[in-house]
This record gives sequence, C-alpha cells and structure tokens, in this order.
Amino acid sequence: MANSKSSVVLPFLVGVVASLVLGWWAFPKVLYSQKTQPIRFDHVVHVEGQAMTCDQCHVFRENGSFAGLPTTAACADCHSDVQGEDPDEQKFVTEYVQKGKEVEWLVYQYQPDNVYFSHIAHKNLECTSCHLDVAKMSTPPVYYQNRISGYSKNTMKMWECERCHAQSGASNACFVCHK
Amino acid sequence: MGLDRRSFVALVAGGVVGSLATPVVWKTLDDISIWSQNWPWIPRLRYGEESLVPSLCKLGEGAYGVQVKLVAGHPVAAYGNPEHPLSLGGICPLGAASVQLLYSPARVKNPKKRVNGAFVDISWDEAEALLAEQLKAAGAEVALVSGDDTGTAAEVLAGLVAALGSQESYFMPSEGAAAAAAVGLLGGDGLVGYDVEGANFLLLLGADALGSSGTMLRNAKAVAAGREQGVRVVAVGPVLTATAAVADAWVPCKPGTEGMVAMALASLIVESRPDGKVPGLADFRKQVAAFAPDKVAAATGVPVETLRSLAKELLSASKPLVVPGTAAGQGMAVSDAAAALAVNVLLDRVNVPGGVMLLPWGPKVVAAAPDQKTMLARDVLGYLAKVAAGTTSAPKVLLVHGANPAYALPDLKTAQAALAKAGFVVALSSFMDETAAMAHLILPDSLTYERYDDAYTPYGSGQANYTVAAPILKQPLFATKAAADVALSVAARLGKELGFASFEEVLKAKAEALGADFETAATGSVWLGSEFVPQKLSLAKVPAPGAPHGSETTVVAVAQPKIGSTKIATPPFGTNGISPRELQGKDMVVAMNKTTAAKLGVRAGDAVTLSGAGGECRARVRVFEGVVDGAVMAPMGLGHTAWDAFSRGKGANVFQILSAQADVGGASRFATSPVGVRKA
Amino acid sequence: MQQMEFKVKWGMVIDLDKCTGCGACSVACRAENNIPPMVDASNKLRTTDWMNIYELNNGKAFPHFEVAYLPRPCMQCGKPSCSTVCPVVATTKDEEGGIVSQVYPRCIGCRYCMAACPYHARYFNWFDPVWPEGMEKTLTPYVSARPRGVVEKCTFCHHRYNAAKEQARQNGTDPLDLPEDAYIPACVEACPSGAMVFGNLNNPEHRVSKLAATKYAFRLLVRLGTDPQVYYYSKRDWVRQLGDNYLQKELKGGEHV
Repeated sequence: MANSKSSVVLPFLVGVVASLVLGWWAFPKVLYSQKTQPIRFDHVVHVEGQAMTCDQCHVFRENGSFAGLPTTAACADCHSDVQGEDPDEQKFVTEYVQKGKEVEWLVYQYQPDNVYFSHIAHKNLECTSCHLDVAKMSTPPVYYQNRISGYSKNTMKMWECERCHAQSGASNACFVCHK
Repeated sequence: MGLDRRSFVALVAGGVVGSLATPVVWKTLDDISIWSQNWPWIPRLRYGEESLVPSLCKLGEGAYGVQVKLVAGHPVAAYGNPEHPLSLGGICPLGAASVQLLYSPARVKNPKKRVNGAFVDISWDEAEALLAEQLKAAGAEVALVSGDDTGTAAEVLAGLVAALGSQESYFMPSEGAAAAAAVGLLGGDGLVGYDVEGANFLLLLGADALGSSGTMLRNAKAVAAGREQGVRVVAVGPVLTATAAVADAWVPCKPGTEGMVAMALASLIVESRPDGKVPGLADFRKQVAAFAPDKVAAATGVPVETLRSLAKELLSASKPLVVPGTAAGQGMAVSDAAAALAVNVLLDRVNVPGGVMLLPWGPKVVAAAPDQKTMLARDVLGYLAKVAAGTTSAPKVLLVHGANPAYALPDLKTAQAALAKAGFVVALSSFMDETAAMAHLILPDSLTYERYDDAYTPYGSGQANYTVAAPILKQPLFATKAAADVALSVAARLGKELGFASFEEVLKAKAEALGADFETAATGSVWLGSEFVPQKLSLAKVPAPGAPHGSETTVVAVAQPKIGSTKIATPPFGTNGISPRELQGKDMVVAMNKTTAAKLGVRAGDAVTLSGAGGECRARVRVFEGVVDGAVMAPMGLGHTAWDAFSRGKGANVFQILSAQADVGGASRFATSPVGVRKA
Repeated sequence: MQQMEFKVKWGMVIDLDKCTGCGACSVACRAENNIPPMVDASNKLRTTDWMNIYELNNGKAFPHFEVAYLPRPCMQCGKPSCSTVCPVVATTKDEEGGIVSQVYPRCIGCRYCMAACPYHARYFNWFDPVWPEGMEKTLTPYVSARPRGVVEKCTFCHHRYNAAKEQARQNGTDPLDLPEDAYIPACVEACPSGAMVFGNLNNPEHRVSKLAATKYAFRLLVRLGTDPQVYYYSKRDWVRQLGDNYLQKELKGGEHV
C-alpha cells in the first residue's frame, strides 16, 4: 500500500468549490426558464423616436388605480394601422389590434394575487427603483420564470418591500400589502 | 490518486457545506412553499380598468335598476343603483347573485329539440325553422304564457300569437294583476302603485312589502326612514314575515281573512263618512254591516279592540295607506284587494300624496299585440284548468317565456297535465327549468346582461317609470338569442309583419311613445311619469271577501327571495343563505306554533307529510311562535327537480299542495290553502 | 395583550329594528370577496359565511312573539381573541383603521383562531374552491382565491379601504382622513333598508359614532372584553338583553345605561 495518507482536505475543497459553482451558476440556469415577450416592443422607437413620455402610456386612472400595461385599445389609438416597417408591429396590428385581443405580456415584476400594491402611494419614487429600466431598450429583456414557483426572477419578495417601508416610516402592517 | 471511501465522504461533506453557502436549499424550500400555495386549479384573478354600468334585475317578481361592476369589460358583481327609484342603492339576494348566473350550470347554451325523450343540440336556423313549421301547422291554436309582465318582450310574443289569430296570451299570476282587477271592480282603471314614502300610517293587510311584495327595496328604505320620523307601520297577516319583524306591530289574523279585516275596518270608518261623499257609499254601508268587528273577530282571529284601535288610527292619521297582499307575493284574492282599496277610497287616499296611485298603462307599440290591461286581466289558471279538463282545446303550440308553469302554479298537477296536453311546448327560457325540461323545443333566451331589456312601472311603484337596459356584454356568452328577436325572426318566416326588425327598435318605439329619449334611457336614465289616471271610483259593487276555507289546518306559503322566485331557482351564491329554519338536510322545514303542533300531534324535528289538493310534500316540523293557530308556514322556492345541483333535490315544492280557490269574477286565490298534516 | 391605539377606527352600527333578514348583505359579501359557491350548504359546520344572519326572538308564545334578525360580520375586535393565539402571526391588528388582517399565504390552518373567536366569525376552507365552469371569470380582482387549509373571515371589505385611499391620493386629499361615504363595505352598500351604517368610530361627526353612543346601542358579548367595533342598535329591550348573558335583574341590556 502506498505511504500517502488518504487525502481528505483536497476532496473536501473540491466538493465545496463544485457545490458553490453548481449552486451559484448551474442552479439558477436550471431553475429559471427563459421566455420572450409575445411582441418585441421597442421602447426606444417610442421614447426617442416619437418623443413620448412615460405617462402617455403608463397612466393613473381617475380613481387612482394604475394602468401599468396599456390595453390593445390604448395602443390602437396610433396603431390601428401599421405605422412602420417592423415585422413585430405588423404582427401586433394583425393578430391583436384587428382581432381585439389583449397581448399576454410577461410581467417582470409579477406579484401573486395575494399581494396588493398601490402605485399611486409610491408615485414619489422613480419607476426604476423597482422596475427594470426598459425605457432605453429596443428589445424587451429575457423573461426568466421560476419553474417551481412560477414567479419572475425579478419579482420583488416581501423583504424588499418591508425594508423600504421600515426605512421610510411607512406602515408594515400586513393588510397594507396583502389581500 | 484514487478516491477511497474517506475521500469520497470528504468530497460529499465538502459538497454539503458548500451548498449551504449557496441559495440552493433555501431557495428551493421557499419556492416549494410558494408552489404548494398556487395549485393550478385555484383560479387566478384578472385585473384591468373598472367601470360601473347600469342595468336591470328582473329575477324576482318585480324589477329594479342595478349597477354592474366590470373589470376589463368582464362583469364581476352587481350592486344597487342609488339613482334608480326602485333600488335607491339597495339590492336583493337574487340581484346580488345575478352576475354569477351568467355561468350557472343550469343555463341552456344553445337551442335544443327533443328527440326520442332526450335533448339534441340544434342550430338556431334549424330551431327557428322548426318553430315556424309548427306554428304554420297550428294555425290559430297557439298559446303563450309569459312571466315578463313589466317587459316589452312579452308584448312582442303576444303580438306574434295574436297575428296568428289567437287570444290565448297569459301572464303568470301576480299581485299586480289581482290589484288591477280589484281597481276594475271599483270602477277604476290603471296600474296599481303606492306612495309609501308619503304615508304616515302604513297598514299592510297581508302584504310582505319589505320581503317579497311590490317594490320591496324601495319599500324597505321608505319604511326604515319613515319609522325614524315617527311613521307607524302595522303588518296584519297569519305569519310573522320579514316585514312584520320590523313593523311597529304584528297583528295576527287567520289565513285568508285579510279581506274580512279590511271590511271590518271599513264598517268602523263608514260611520264617520257623510253620505254622498263617495259614490256608492250607501250600498257599501249595507255591505260592510255584515262585517262589523264583533261579527268577524272570531273568523279572523283579530280581537274587536284591535280592530277598533286600527280603525281609529286610520281615521286620525293624516296620510294613512292600506296595502293588501300575501306572504306568497302572489295568489292574493281580488276580493281582499278590493276591500283594502275600498278602505283607501273611504279615507280619500287615491291619487293623493301618500296614497294608492293609479298609474297609466304602458303604451302598446306592437300593433297586433293585446294591450297590457287586457293581457294582465286574463286568467292563466282558468285557462290551464279548462285545457286539462278538456273543455277548451289544448293549444297545438304553447310558447312559455320567462316563466316556469311546470313548477310555479297552484294545482300543479292540473297545470302539468295541461302542459302535457299541449301539442308542442316551446320554452324560451335561459335555464333548464322544470318547464324547459319537459318542452319539445328550447330556444334559450339571453340573460338581461346579454341583451336589451326593459321594465315599465313594476307593481307598487309610486309613479310611472320606465327603465331600459342596454346589453353589458358585447355579445351573449353562449348561443342564446333574445326571445323577442326570436319572435320577430319567426314572424318574418311566417310572413307576419309585426312592424319591427329588432327588439332594440321595439324599445326605441316604446320609449318614444312615453316621451322618453331612448339614448339617455339606455345609458341609465330612468323615465319618470307624473301623470295619474283620473278615476271614477265607486263603492257600490265592492264584493264580499270570501270566508276562510274552514279547514282545520292551512298552509301559508311564504316567498323568500334568498331562496329563489317563481322564475329562478336558488342561484349558486344563494345556497348558503338558506338556513336550518328553511331546510334541514334535504327536507323543507315548515313552521307552526306549539298549540298547532300539539293539536296535530307532532313535535319539533318530526318528519311530516303535508297533503293538499292533488299533491303531497315531505317536511320537518319547526316550532315557531310567529304563526297563527292552525296555520303551517312553508317556504317557497324549494323542491326543484330540474336546474342544477345547487337547487335540485332540496326540499319540496309548496306549489304542489297549494290549490286555487274561486274568488270573484272568475279569479282565484291560492296564497293559502287547506292542508293535511300527518307524521311521515 | 397590548392594544394599539388607532387614529381611525372603522366600525359599524347595525339597526336590528330595520333588518328584515333578507340576506342580500350575505350574498353581496360572497360576490365581492370571491367566496366560492357551495352546492350543498346545509351543513353549517362546513360552509363559509363571512356575513351570517341569526334569528333572535323574545321567547314569548304566540301572539306576543317577536323576532329580530342579526347580521354578524367579523367584529374587528379592539382586543381580538384570534390574533393573540395565532402561532404564525397570520392575523394581526396592526393597521391604521383597526381592521384585523388575515393573510392567507401565512396561515397554516391550525384553526386555533377559530376556537378562540367567541363570535364564530372565522371560517375554514375545508375544500379547495370549486367554481362552476366559466364562473371563475366573475371573480373580482379584490381578494385572492384561497386554497384549502386556510382560515378566512370578513375584512370589512379592506380592499375598498385601499381603493378609497387611492382615490384620495388621486384627488390630493389625505388618505388617512377619508370622508364618511368614501369607503363602505359591500354588505352595508347592499342593505335594502339601510340598516347598516359604517364609518370611523373615532370621528364624532360620523353617524356611527353618534349611533354607537346612544343608549340603544349594544355590542355582542361585550363583557368578554373583546371591545368589538361592530355595534348593534335596537329600541327593543329584549333584543339588547340578548347581547350578552345578562341576568334577569340586569334589565335594560346595552352599555350606556
């Protein structure tokens, strides 16, 4: 038998490194499925190209609720006919506007039904405090969906809301955010 | 270097320690806990812009305006309409459940025809062609039974039937019809309403004005507000109804004797009325002498002193109002209604603030149709009895619209026999009710939220009013069509010109005839009339109210909207509201006081069989002191055999033991009837 | 337990001399709060009735018999028995307005709160919600659909409170100082006789405060010390006497006599 004592430290370290790599790199890859939006909505064309402002599409309604994602009817104000050359716009007009269908947008900041969020209560914050800065993107980012829970990778969990509420002095009572 | 066992263990240990420093374990656990709370069969909510649109609820015996909440265009709930005079913000249990009825499992989703005892789905084209073919072969032997006595759809259907040469168009029985007939007996004319807001002493002779009679929501607000201001409300009747529960007093009387009570009060009031003040007063004096308090105290069960004090109160109040009715919300004796009206006439309370309002009939716009007054006066029970007996020929085609005669008529066996005799029964119903279940052809009617609908002056309204409801949904959810549009289409196939291409056009004409603007009406603005029909009332021919049946035990049917109505069985949202006071397990619960129970030899909880003319019901006994001696209170709306699992097979149908007893002028009363009770 | 003091205390006064027991409040509650329909609702130990209606009577024989109907929502107690016993803090009374919260994803379904509630105002989801085909399209967006295994109760239509606050923010007014008619629960709105009044018990201008202070107002089982925020009102002595286990010699019932 060889004289070297059986190595424990090296396999142990290998195990640690391997699991760290698997846990931090491979696990997220496996956990999230990647999806794309049904229509490649180009913010740049609208914001820079058409010089539109955020609140022309993302509006507060009269009763104070927030119309985050505009309805097909709202888009049809301009897009009742094809406006440009983009094949995605063509697709939008033929499959959604003309058929009166709503686009099933994948919501990056998806929240489950038991969560209540009031945009108007947070209107003093920048949109990008919680949302991806899509205003500068021509292509919507990839949507990562958690295969187990169904949530989006960008879904804010409770601790983030609680922390900011605690810091700013807003109430952290359960019913403020749950329904 | 080989991997021996120790190294392997070290490798695994390293893996475990490392993984604890990664999100794997914690995230997986967290995600699994979320996954376990979001099973795919738990429904998800839908969000969107909210709006509130006006509409109508006609699920009960009356009609009133509601508001429907839409989220992204989908209806989610119905609320009262504060702007509507018959809702004033309130809603009844049926209205509150109305949106969910759009998806009731009992809905008929497409036309069906009966083939070899089972229903087969067919297209609208085939269905209308089949109906046209049947109508052509039937000639003038066609009949119609409709439950829609406030709507113009019935007028269109009656117009079709009349154009084919038949006058056999009937409404289902209602309190409004009996009240209007009573007005006719006194020489008057018009739809009957009551200015409950204006009265300061309200004497309800049997009428469950807050529970099931007339404009119940408006009455509830008026009574609640009035009593705060000192208005007195007294409810006379055989059972402690919802109305009696909140009245200033419940004056128990034996079942069916409300008319005698009215005459007794009249006998006390005439003493102070000078002759010549009211036409026919001299004749009336003679008539009411036979109903002096001491003569009727025993028969009615109301002590002489009580009658005297009620009469005194009627005389001293500046705005008294007497309202007749029954706890069943229908089946009132015309003679009882006439007696109550006579008291109002004696007190000079007709067409004055706080009194009985005689309102203009609805204008007719379908030329061929019978007018509203004529149709309301026809007696469907008499007709069906004659058909069953063979003294009138059975119709070759029977159209049933917004009504359920195979369930909701007294002497039910007779009615069912008459329906069976009809050659071809067509159900224009939204639901698979008992009548549709035995029909030859079902042409499903769209629900109010899916089509145009209207309501003109429901019984009890304080002034003439007209409400139009535009469809809330862009199109019906299923392959259903508005019954009136079906009638117009079939009429066209038969070459009969009714004068309109669509129901919307008919409603436009109706609105115009009233002087209302259709566009504003269809967006929620109620038309209000301010005219009252001038009257020439006379008390010369007030009939004597019938004596009670003389049976030992009488069943008193009580309508409760939370259980259902004659048009709709318990809606899916309504099952929880039915308490052990109405239903125990699968048994209907009937209530009687302890004296009655002792006499009948039954105890609380006993199963009993109730037997009436032509039918029997199983029930359980509840001892409840809110029922007069000798009476058994039975809830209506149970005992369905069709519809869906929400209402089928629960309890028994009280109509099976109710029998129609003859009243004046060929009309009949059936809100209470003799019953036998024995242990089951 | 510690009782938080709130600036706003939402409360109700229900006039039992006006309630006819029609049941509209109960159905309106179901529709508003996505309570699933039950095919067989005869076993009242298995039904969910956030708003339940009881029948009271004066115990006398015919013809001196009288009834009253008592609608019972959650009392939103000032000193709730339920939230004190919840092992996971799924229910608390910690929000301005004084509505006792019930958070479904945190509830483990132990039903300790149900045992603790003296008013039987809490209900357990024995079954997963079953909506007839298509009827799930009529769910309101206001209240999440609960799976089996969690407890639920009336929340005074808390979502309407949220909506009123949003409207106030849109109007530029203070969301914590809502006018009397800005927020009312579905049951109060539905009531045909207007028997139910809702508002801020801490605001002396609101009708609820005025009515609750009269000698005809009473609360259920008040001597348990739960400090309910739902008051009942009746001019009839026998109705008030049913509010708690009063002795014969405690004549009037009520709290202000």
